[in-house]
Amino acid sequence: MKLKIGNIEEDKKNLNFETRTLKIKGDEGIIKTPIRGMNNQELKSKEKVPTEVSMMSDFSVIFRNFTSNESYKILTDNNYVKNLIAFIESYKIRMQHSSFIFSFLQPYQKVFNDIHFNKEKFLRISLNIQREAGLKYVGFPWLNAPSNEVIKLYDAYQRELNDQQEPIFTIDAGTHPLELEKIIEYVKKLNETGRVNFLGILYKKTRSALPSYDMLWEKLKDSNLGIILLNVDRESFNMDNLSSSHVQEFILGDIMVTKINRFFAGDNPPEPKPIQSNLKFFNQEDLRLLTINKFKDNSWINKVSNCFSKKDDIEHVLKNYMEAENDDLKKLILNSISKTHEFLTSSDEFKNSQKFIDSNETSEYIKGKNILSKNLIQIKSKKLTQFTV
Amino acid sequence: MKREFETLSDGSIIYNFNNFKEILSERGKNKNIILIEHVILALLNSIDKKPIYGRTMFMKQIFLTYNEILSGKNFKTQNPHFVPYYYGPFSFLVSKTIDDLELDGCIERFGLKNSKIETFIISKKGKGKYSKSVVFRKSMIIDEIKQKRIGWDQLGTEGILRYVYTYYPNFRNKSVIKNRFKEITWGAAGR
Repeated sequence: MKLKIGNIEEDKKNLNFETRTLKIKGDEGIIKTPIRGMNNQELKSKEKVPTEVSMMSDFSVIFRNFTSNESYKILTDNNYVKNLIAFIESYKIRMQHSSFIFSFLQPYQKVFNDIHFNKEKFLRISLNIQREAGLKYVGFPWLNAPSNEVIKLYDAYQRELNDQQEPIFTIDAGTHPLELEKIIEYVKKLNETGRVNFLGILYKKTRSALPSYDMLWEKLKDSNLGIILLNVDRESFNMDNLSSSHVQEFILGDIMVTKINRFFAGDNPPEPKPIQSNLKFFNQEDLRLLTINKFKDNSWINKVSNCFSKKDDIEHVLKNYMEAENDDLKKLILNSISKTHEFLTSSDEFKNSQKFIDSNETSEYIKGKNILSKNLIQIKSKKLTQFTV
Repeated sequence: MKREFETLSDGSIIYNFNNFKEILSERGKNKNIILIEHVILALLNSIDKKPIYGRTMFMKQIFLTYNEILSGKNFKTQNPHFVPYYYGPFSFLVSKTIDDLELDGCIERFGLKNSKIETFIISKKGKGKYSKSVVFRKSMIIDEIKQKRIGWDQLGTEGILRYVYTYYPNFRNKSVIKNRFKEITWGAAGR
């Protein structure tokens, strides 16, 4: 396994960005970052798209969050664990064409509020589940504990993996920077020995974790450690609906993995909206997710359909999008088209930005994206305020 | 010589011995025909290090290779005689050829038979046989098979069944699982 820094570029004075390219040796040659990883929900979406489509990604990620009840089941319920192993195995099979398959089994933050929750047992069983499913890369969950405890547990359990298995530790970007720093020092030491090549970071909204992101960038920018940014919001509502993955590209992260949304029985259902102000598509030109009433005319139908090899199949569905207004099954199909289209075009856009970063022309790229540029500058003013408090 | 034969329900034809000998000698003259075994080996060889998981997935991929890659290209192909069956399109001839290729050592099969973890991969011998086949000389379709196979593998068994049931509704009628996949039509034309 070889990871090597391509280029690092920063501009803290004007456009306020930090970014880098990383070269990773994969099955079929060199993979470059920043890149979009494909999660299991995106792959599931493809199933519902009424045409054939290949979603190529060098990185596939199986990500599952667990409620208190589900986390408890992992500790006690044989059948639940058996089904979870089968779930991972089935996605591992479907993701076999990616060079790297990662999995992360992560309790929700609320689970840690229960002081009786046995973190070590959860860690141990979650690792066993992944090993049983035959994964090479074994994701260590974030344990929401003081750094010395995290390091102690991570170190003890990474030693239990064999030489063919590689640990991927996970940290939460919302944690206090001083605590994170100690864990990073530990991970970097293992990185130098070649034991660890990737680090999972649970995404937090950019503005709610600026000091942590700043510290992480300073500590990791020149390390040969691939940063997998997990659970990234699909869009940033406080940043003009910019795709969060494309904002994070200029803050921290090499492999961006979008958040998997789950809805629970107790959740208040979202207020019903007309389909024109609900259905969204990724607009590659300005990196925003736009509801279809924000597009000037019906040209979005052509734009979206063009991304699929059997263009006519998708065009026909999109032309009749109004039929989904009162039909949940049709809504599901439209949302699947939206997610698949976003994956394809966003992946393409990452390839485009890599060229600029590699040739020290990141400023040119950002200047060409007005809304991104405006928002990155705004983060800077926020950053200064936070540091002076 | 007058040919005597009987046609089976899947469209296969049974000839008497003399007719069969005659057909074999005709086939020997026409080396450009794509046989079922060529299609099977081409599919496995397209991504030779990655297996196809599950017999249902394998059968559906062969069906789609015929219908979405080979059809309309003016190739001479051996007719696999796909018929509607319990899990959609099925060919007894393809099933038999897979078993024969395994027995001959051209395909390696691992895992429990008829389970989702049953895997099929091309062997060294299979590669040798494939390299002498007609498909091997048609680089245009090799790339297409590779590209499509990635998409089909990504669908998983459930996904490929949904795909086949959506686009080939004629093969639904005998299926024991057809109710799992609701037909959805868009537009007044009902496409």
